[in-house]
This record gives sequence, structure tokens and C-alpha cells, in this order.
Amino acid sequence: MIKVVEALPPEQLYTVCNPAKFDFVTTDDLEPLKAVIGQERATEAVQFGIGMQKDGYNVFALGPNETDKENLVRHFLEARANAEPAPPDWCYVYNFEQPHIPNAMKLPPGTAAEFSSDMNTFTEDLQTALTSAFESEEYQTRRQVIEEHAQEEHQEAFEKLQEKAREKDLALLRTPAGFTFAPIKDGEVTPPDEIKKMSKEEREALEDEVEQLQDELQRILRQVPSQQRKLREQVRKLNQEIARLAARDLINEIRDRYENLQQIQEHLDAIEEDIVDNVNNLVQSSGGDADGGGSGQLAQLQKAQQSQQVLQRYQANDLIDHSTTDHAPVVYEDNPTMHNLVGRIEYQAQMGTLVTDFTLIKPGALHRAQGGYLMLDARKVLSEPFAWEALKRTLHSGEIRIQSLREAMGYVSTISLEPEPVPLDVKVVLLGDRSLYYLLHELDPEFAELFKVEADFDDQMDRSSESQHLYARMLAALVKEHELRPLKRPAVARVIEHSARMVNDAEKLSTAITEVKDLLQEANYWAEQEQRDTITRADVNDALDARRRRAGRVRERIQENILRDTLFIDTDGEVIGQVNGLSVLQLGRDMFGRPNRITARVSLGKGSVIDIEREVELGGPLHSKGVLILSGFLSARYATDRPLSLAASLVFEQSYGAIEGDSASSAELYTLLSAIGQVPVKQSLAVTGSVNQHGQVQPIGGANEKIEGFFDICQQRGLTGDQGVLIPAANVKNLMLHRRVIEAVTNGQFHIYPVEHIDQGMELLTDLPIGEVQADGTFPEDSVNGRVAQTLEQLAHRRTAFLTTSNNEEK
Amino acid sequence: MSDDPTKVRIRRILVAMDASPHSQSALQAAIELATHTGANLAGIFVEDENLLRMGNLSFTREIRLFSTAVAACSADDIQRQLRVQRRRAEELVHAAARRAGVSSTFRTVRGQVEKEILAACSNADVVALGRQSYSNSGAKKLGSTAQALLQQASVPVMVLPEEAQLRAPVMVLYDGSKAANQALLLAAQITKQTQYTPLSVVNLAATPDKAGPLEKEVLQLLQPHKLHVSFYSIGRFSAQRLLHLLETHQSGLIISPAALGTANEQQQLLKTITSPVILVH
Repeated sequence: MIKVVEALPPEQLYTVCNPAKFDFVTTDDLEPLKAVIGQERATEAVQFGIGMQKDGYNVFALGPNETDKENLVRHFLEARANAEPAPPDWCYVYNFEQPHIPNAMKLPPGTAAEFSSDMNTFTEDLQTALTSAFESEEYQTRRQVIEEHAQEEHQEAFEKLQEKAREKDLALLRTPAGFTFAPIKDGEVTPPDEIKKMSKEEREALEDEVEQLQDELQRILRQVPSQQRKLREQVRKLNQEIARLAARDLINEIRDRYENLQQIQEHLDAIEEDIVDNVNNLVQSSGGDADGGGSGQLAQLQKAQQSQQVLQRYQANDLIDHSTTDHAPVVYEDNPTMHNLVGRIEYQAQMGTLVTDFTLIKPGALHRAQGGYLMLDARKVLSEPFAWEALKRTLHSGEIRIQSLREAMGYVSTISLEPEPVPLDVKVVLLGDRSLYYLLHELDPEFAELFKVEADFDDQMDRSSESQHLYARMLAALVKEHELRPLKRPAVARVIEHSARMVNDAEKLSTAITEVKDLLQEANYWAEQEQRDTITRADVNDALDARRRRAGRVRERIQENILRDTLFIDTDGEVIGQVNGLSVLQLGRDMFGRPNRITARVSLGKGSVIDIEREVELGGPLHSKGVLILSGFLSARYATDRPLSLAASLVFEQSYGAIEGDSASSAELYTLLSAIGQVPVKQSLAVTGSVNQHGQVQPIGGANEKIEGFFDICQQRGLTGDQGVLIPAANVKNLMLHRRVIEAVTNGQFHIYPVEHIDQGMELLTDLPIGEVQADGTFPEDSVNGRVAQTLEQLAHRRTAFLTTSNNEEK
Repeated sequence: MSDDPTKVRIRRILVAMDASPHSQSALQAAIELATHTGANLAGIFVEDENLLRMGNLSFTREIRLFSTAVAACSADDIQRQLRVQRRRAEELVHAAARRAGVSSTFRTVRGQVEKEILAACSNADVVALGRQSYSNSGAKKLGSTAQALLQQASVPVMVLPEEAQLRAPVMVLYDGSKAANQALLLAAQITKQTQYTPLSVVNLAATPDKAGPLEKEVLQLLQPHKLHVSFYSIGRFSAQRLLHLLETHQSGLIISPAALGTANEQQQLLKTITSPVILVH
């Protein structure tokens, strides 16, 4: 015997959260829950991920954003980071050997800013110290002595030569391009006539003398360059000596301050050598050099710039400084461009060109998170050009290498810096949705290697009296955090009930905390409108109703079309081959159900069921699968000893879009059986549920919305008391129906039937017994099966007759 | 010079040009002076008779300054070189005068350099020239032309070291001689016109008891000019002490009687001082 299906009692349609079981009046009486609820798996994963100190154990927190995973992860990271000591500071300093590769310097926490400021003071003091050293009498005198000594040497030789010439009545004359010797008489060059008058011997002697003097002069002049070089060398040595003396005191002062830091000591040694080598550039600008005056403004400007450039080398760029914190950092970079991640090198425009140096290196989020934790939104990282690649490269190589985007793209190759990479010590936590995680896993071979920990945030949790109590405490925490009115006990219960409805499951609660928070905020608004100090159940209901109204344009338009008989839906009477199926639509956040008329027509054929939706490619593969299962069911039940000789067509009437899912397959089967057996079906009932080849009705999604969708139509037309919905029995646990439905059910105006098998459904829809198979394999005549079998038999006969006739005709 | 013994007027400044760095400094200083005094600038270039004559001697050779190459050098070559030099000098004078808005003339003469410049001095109020005609011999001492002018010129001679600039303050060396009086008046005039005040006077009294009267004399002479005057003293005269004073006060123009101390001391002073010097006879 088929089990008779009873309509569900109201208490099975809505699992109430009983406020009486709570021992508080408002949420103010509760201790707010700081911990996370319902995310045990994710919590464990995050804790494992941040505790695991091996390469590649970075965390990907996946799950819907509504679970508020960003805050949860941040909460964990901060708790951990606060217990960890401040990480080392980082500085960039000039590299005197390879200027384009600035050196990265690791310093104890809180030292970088101090060192940088010390070096700034040093550069300022250095110029003054050098200036006064080079303006000192000692230096000036020593330099003059050197210069004069060199000049005297030269001058002496020159004067001797002049003297020698004079003794021989010859004069050294200056021509525009050089020197010459000429015989002289009374201060004037001897006229050529007088030379001519000389005897041959006299003239030859004169010529010899001139030649000798010329040779000598040539020798003296040739010595000039080497003498000048010698002079320059002596002056240079003097300058270096003075510079070293002037700078040493200043440098030693800093040396003492950073006694234990080998890297700083070595850097200071290099600075000392550099000052000595560059003393000319440094002093010229400070006015200590005698040549400083006469040259033009531009030259002076250039000199000043040059010395500034030299001085800048001695500064230190305190990239990361932890002088104001005493624990490890947690950084969330909400604009993860490539430069914001790995740092960048800025440029300055100088006389029309772009220049840069190590002081213009700026840290990225990875630098700032050094020794701590970096949180990033995976989708944002992926949508920024080169950011994902840069992040992976950094994690892979274990060092932060600053590279400019232009270089990465290979567009330009201007002279730029390649700062020494900083060893990476950061735990990265990516936040993203599940699809992104699985896509990355599938498409990016490096992903699994670099993000070994998946922290999967669940969107639902079990509902029990304990968890309901915890949920109430979580609500108390939200109330406190967002400064809302406290919730009264029934309001808490209502929120918990809605939470179950959010996941469409009476036995589960939603972990979409941000959505719950929104609901509380909206309820708070309605409480404020009512000038209440607390949020009541009515306020929560108001908030939900208002939300439904706001999103209700499309839903109401569809219902209006049904009520005005534009969309044909019957809610009373009986029709053959016509059933009210139910479908569900999601628009934005709102989800709602609507009835669809499903019809079937049957004729003689070869045993095929035509799904019109599929024929026009509006039916998806799952829908087609559902329809094909119907054929299986029909053949097995009615056509074991003869061919199935019908052609049936099934259609969703007035459906103009794509249909997907198999939740209408039971409705289609009812329609088909009604059409074949010519059994009228009650239009006061609507049907949902998928069916298998054995006729069992299987659960579907969106049961609540579907029931409410049909109920709304019936209610607006006026409830007759016969109306109801057939749902799969397996869906009863999902029911969290709206109170308007519950009320109607309580009043016996509407019925929800849990159906396990297609036979039960058919009996409910037709009021005919289904008809069990008899000993001879036939069905009782006045039963659904009987009528169906009869029709099929007739069709089979007709088909045989038809085939025989046509065969004979052919012969 | 004006006929009035208490007044000195500068109406015409003669600049001896040879296009060397020293003479360019002289030109700049002359321009600066002319700008303030409204004087006319007269450039002069002397084509050295000696050089032309030398060119006619078959056996003489020119030793080039930088390459130290020895090359034959005919009169034509010299003529050509001088022409180039003269053109440069002329361009320099006119361009500088044009920039400063000073009226200028330029004259080329042929002859013995010292003689010709001395001759040209007669209708100038100041003559400006570089300390040397060339700098590469390494010598810091005075060039022969400068020496001749200092000894024989009847007008104040402004001598300029390479790269020296005329600027404030003006410092006058006063020893009570007639030339010193002239120097003082010239200094007063220049100070007034350039407004390089105050005028610094170095009191070079031979003995300490003469310092007071000397100072009074200065004030009396300067009375009509109504200038703010600062006095300095070096005690017993020596070139070394004077130089030290001049160095520490960084004077921008020194005006001195031509005959000061011994010939040696004069030489030492002139070759060491790095600012422009006007020597008055």
C-alpha cells in the first residue's frame, strides 16, 4: 500500500528558536563573544599557517566575504603579532663600489631613524668642518708655500735664461703665440740692415747663440706640464690630509655610537675614504677654494649641485623603522599595485631629466610587513598589472627586489638603481572567494607551492541550543561594536531564525556575519523610528519586510502578471496534462519563487519524450537529464513487455528564458502521466522536486521561496483551503517559511505535503489511487497506473497495426 | 685731471689691451669704474714694433707656448697674429662697453709698446692695464709695460691681477705725501660715485706721534666730500704688515701713492695683492 501523505503541521514548517530558553532580557546582559563561531576548520588552518615557519606556508583564506573573514584573520594575526618582538629595521645606504646597487642594511629595531638623522647631521656638520679646515691659516699657508715653491723653480729657470740672453744682447720677446729671441740694441730689436752689415762670422755666432737659447727655452717650457702635474699632486695630497683630519672627529663620534654594528662601521670607513677622494667637490662649493669667485652663476650652481650630490651619498634612507612599535606588524594593503607591494624608486626632475638616488627608494607593503604579517585581497592583487607575478617572485626567491614597472615591461632602460634585495621575512595571507582559490590552484602551477595553507571559511554552522546561545553572544558583540540598541530576547530569537532561513536550513545557522550585522543595523533603524531603546522582534521583522519590499519590483511584476491572467496559472479546478511547477529566481540579494505552468501532449510515436526547452536550446543539461530520466521511469513501469509507442512533448509554458536544474522533473512526470492516462490534475496544488528512474522524489534547493511564491499567488486570489504545495520529504528539514504561510497552514487554508515517491504525489494531485501492480502484471482499471497502461497499450496496438498496414502497402 | 686741486674728475679711462686674461680684468675694472663715473672708455692696442722687426730677421724662430714646437716666423706671420689679436681686443672692448652702456673708442697704434701707451696716457685721467701681458712664464712680478707706466706715467695707473674685480670697499694708503693727497682725493671721488662707502684710510704715518696730525689732515681734505671714513693703522711700515692688513680687510680697490717704501717693497706689494690697485704720482 502506498503511504498516505499527511499535510505538514505548522511546527514542521518553521523551527522556532524559543526565547524562553534564553536566560537574558536584552543582549546587554550577555558577555559579548570575541571569538569566532562556526569556523573551527578555518581557525585551525589560520593558526597552523601563522605558526608554521617553513617556506611556502602562506595562507589563503577562502570563503564568502560575508563571513567577515578579513576581520577574523586580522584578529588572529594581531593577537599573534602583539606577542612577537619588533622586527629589525632596514636602511638603504650608498654603495661606494657599485653606486647603482645601494646597500641594504639590517639594524636593530628603532635604530634606522636614529642612524639616518645622525647621518643628516653629519652631512651638515661635515661641510662646515671642511670649510673651516680649508679656510684655516694653516691650510692656506701650506698651500701657498707649495704653489710658490713650484713657481719659483720655474721662474728661476726663466729668469736665468733671460739674464743669459741679456748678457748676449738678446731679448726674450712674447709673440701672440709664444716666445722668441731677438738681438736688441737700446731696448729695441736690431733692425735687419744692421744684421746685414755684420760679418759672416759675427752673424753665425749670433745665430748659434739664438739657437742655443731657443733650445734651452724649449726645455724649460716642456717641463711646465709635468711641473704643474707635480704641483697638483702635492696640493691634492695636502687637501686629502686636511680633509681626513677635519672629517675624522665627526665620523668617530658616530662610530662610537654604533660600536657593535659591524655594517655601520664598514660603511663609515667607506665614507671616510670617499670624503678624502672627493674633497675638491665638497670644498669648492663651500667657498673655501680660491677659484670659487669669478666663474658665472651657472657654474656656481653646478658646483653647489655637485657638492650636494656628494654629500647626499653619506645620508641613510631609513626604509623601515620600528622606533614607535614594540611588536611585529600586521599590514593590510588595500591597493596592492606592484609598486605598493615591493616598493618603488622615485625620480626627481632635474634640468629636464629624471634622476634618482638611493634616498628616493620607497618601501612597499612587503617591506612594512617585514618580520610580521601581510594581508592582501587576492582579487585586487590579480587585477593589478604585474602585482601577482611580483608577489610570487618575492615569495619564491625569499627576497624583496625593487623593480620598476617600466623595467618590468622592458619599455625603457634608463640608468636606474637596482637596490640590494632585502631577505623576506613575511607571512602572507591572501583573502579571496572559493572559486578564485580553486581557479588559481588549477591554473597557476606555483600557487600550491606558495600558499600551502587553505583556511576555508564555512558559510553555515550547526544549530543547537548551545550554538544558539553563542550566536546570541555574537549578536551582543556586534551590537557593542557597532553601537546599536540592545536586542530583546525575542528579537535575538528572530535573528537566529532568520539566520537559519539565510542558509535555507532549519538545522543550520548562517555565518555570514556581515549580513547579520546589516540586519541588526536595519532593525536598529526601525527601532529608532519607533523611538524604542531596544530592538524588538517587530523591528527585526520590519527590517526584513522592508528589505523584501525594496527588492520586490520584479517579483511583484511577475505576480501581477499572473493575477491579471497575462501569465496563465490556475489555482483551482482540474486539467489534464497540466501541472503547476515551481521555479526560483535570484536577483541581486533577493531570491523568490514563482509558479510555472508545465504541460504535456501525447500522441502515437516511437517512445520518445520531447523536451521542447531542449529543442530550442533554452533547457540546460541538468534539465534535459531530468527529462530523460522520465523516459526511463515510463519504460520500466509500463513498457516491460511492449514497445513504448508514444510521442510526448513537454514544455514550460510562457517561459522566455533559459531553464536549468532538475527540480521540475517530478512536476513533468506528473504532467506526463496525466496526459497519457487522461487523468485530470488539481490546479490548486503546485509541485517541486526532482525524480529518479524509480520514481523517488529527491530534494531540491529553494524550497522556502518556491512555497512562498505559490502561496502569494493563492493568497492574493483568495485561499480556498484546497491549495498547497508538494515538496520532497527530504526538504522538510530546510523549511523556515514566512509567518504568513505558517498562519494560513495553522488556519487550514494552505497545505504542505512531504512526498517521498511519485505515486504519493500522483494520488494527491488526482484523488485517484495509483494502482498497484497485480499478480498478472496488470494494474487495476480505475487507477492512475491502470489508465496510463491502458493508453500505452492502445498506442502500442495502433502502432503495430499501423506498421503492419504500411508494410503490406509497401509489399 | 681737474684743475681744482681739491677735486679729481675721471672723464676718460685708457685701457691697454692685448687680449690676455690680465688685460681682460683691466677692461672689466675700467668698465666698472666708467659706469659709476660716466667716463669714456678708450681702448688702445699697440702693434709691437719689436716683434715686427724680429720677423724680418731670418734666423729667429718662435717657440710655441703649449706645443713647445719651434717654428719659423716671418714678419708676415707676426703681422697676421697681431691683426687677430687686435681684432679680438677691439671686439672685447666694444662688447663690454655696449653691455655696460659706456661710450667707447678704440685705437691701434704701431711702435714700442711702453712708449706708445705712455704717449696715449697724456689725454686720459686713469690708465688701466693687466699686471702682466702673459701668465705662463709663472712669474708673478710686474710686466715690463706696467713697470714702465708706473715709473713714467703722469696719470693714475690701475693695475689688475688676473681675475681681480673692482668692488667695495675702497682703501686708500695715506702717508701725507703730495701723491697721497691726490690718491685720497681720487679715492674720495670714486667712493662717492660708486657708493662703496665707507672709505677706508690706512694711516701710514712714519712715527706714532705723526699719526694724529695725519688723520686730521685726511679729515680736512675729505671735508667737502662728506664721507664716512674708517681709519686703519699698521704701526711701523713694512710691506708684510700692510699686506696682512689688506688681506684681512679684503679690500675691493686699493689706491696708493706710486712711491711707497723701497723699490723691492713696491714690487712685493704689487705682485702679492689680489685686488685692483690704482697708483697715483
